[in-house]
Amino acid sequence: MDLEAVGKMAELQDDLTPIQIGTTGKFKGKAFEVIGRMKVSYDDGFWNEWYLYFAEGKHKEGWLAEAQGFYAVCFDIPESVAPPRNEASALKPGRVVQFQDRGLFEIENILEVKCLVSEGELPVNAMKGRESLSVDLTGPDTQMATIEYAKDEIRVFAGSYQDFDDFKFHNLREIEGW
Amino acid sequence: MAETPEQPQKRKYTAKNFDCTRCGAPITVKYPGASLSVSCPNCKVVIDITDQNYRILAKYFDKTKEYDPIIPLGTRGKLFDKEWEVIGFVVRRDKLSGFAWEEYLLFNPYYGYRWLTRNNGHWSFVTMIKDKPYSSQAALSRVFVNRVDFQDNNYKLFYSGHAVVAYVFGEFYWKVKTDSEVWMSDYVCPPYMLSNEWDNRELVWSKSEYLDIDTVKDAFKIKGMAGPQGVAPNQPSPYLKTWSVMRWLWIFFIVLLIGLSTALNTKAMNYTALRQMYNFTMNGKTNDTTTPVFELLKDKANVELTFRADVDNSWFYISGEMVNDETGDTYYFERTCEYYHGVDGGESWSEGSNTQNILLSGVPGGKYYINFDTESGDFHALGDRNFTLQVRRDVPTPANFMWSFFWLCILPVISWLNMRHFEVSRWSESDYSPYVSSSS
Repeated sequence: MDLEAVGKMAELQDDLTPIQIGTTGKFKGKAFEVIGRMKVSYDDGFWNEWYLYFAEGKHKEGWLAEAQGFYAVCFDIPESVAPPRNEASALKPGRVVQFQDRGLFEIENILEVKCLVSEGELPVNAMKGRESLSVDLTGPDTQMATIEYAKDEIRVFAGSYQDFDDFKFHNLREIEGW
Repeated sequence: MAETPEQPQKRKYTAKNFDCTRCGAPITVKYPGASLSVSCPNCKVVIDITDQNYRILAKYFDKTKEYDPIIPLGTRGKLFDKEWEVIGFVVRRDKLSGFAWEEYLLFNPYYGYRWLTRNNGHWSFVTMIKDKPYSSQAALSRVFVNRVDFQDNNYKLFYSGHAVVAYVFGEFYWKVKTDSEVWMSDYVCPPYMLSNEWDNRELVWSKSEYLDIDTVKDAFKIKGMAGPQGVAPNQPSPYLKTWSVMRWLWIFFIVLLIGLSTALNTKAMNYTALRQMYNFTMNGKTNDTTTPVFELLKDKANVELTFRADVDNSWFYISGEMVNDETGDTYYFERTCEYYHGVDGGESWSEGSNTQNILLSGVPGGKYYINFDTESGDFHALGDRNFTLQVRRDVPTPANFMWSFFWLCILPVISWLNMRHFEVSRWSESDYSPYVSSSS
């Protein structure tokens, strides 16, 4: 995948995330380092998507989605599982989508999102100002997935939630008073 | 490994201060990086923090309807090994019944959000879950079912209804809106409860765990606090624990008792020490008959006296004493053998028996004899009849077993009744009670 340094794009709003570029951790036993971040906003809030680099394994790049104390790691998967673009507007929370052998996933929410700011290294299509329709799903055994309907492409990510303590994070950002 | 482009910054987070857009009172947002809305401590309007103009989101929370949080906002406490700060307070009520409960929003920048709920003085610790409970009845989308399974536990539907926000105070990670209401259903498996909340935008599951009031007091250093009332939906039953232990002890002792009595009964000597036949005159009396001396073996065992008389629509009465020839110890007895039968209105009937028993327990071994008097009546003939007197030593008897069984059952039955009473109280608040008696 084409990587491009995008950092120093804009100043980030003051936020409380304990993750920062340079944080290392483990997902299902595999070590990663955080190399970039997108802060994504929607009508009622925002969340962080941290770009991960795995030293070993099939997937070298992944995403750590962080929202309200929930942490999930997901990877690019072929877009063929996603309902086609012309059906996207008809998707509703509660609808079930078959994710191949991963099982049945249920739609949690559908949000119009916008990349608010970004920093560090990111794939070329993760730019500030990029808008998309983001569909979040949850699957069996704490699995999750996101389908992103952007102007020029559909992207699908699948992975699972993991408890904060299981990440065994290092080099976290210090939070004053905690 | 990719190079870290720059040294990680040590950003200090700072509280955000601004003036209420409605009343002008100063407002402080402690965690502006995480919170999205905040209430004005003075006029109680809720303000959108992410909006540059501090738009007012909700203003219907008037001051007259003020609720006081028991745990002051800003208090930190340790629960389940992690530190939490109370940052928000919400009162919600069931739309139909008006029943209200309190919810305290807890925050930790690493672990996110949890809730403490207070319901009739009962506390629970609530965690949002991403894993969906499973139901065999239906796909869990926007309908409630009777039972759901989650992490090896089966949960029963306890409540379903419409919950509305009655009051908010503090800061929140979502934008608190006017008239926000959700459909809710609760499923219980004490000490846990699963709650399902949904509106037309999203569906959220959370898992509660019952907290002892002292746990909450200790964690947040709260001194005075009204105690819980009644039984909470997810309150663990103290009687269930006793009962589940008791049940197995009970089964164990009953098996033991059955084994023991079987062993004792097979070991019983069960022999006839004396068997004598005597004449008696019908409708007459006999006095002071003495049997031959007989020997009772064993140090101590029971003795069964059996009297059998040829009575037929008549009665035979015997009274007397069994006397130890060496010590003079005496056992008194009296019995009536009576047997009546006939035909009444085309139906034949009978009552009584020509045989009577007496069981004497714990009779010491030794040489014994019996003295007795007899009397009889209602005979329609004259002349003599026979009766038999029999003494058996060490007979197998169910009496000991029955008594032991009875005593053995008392505690388990009490324990079971307590447990059941507790469950009936728990479910008396529910529309889905499995106990029919509690319908109200």
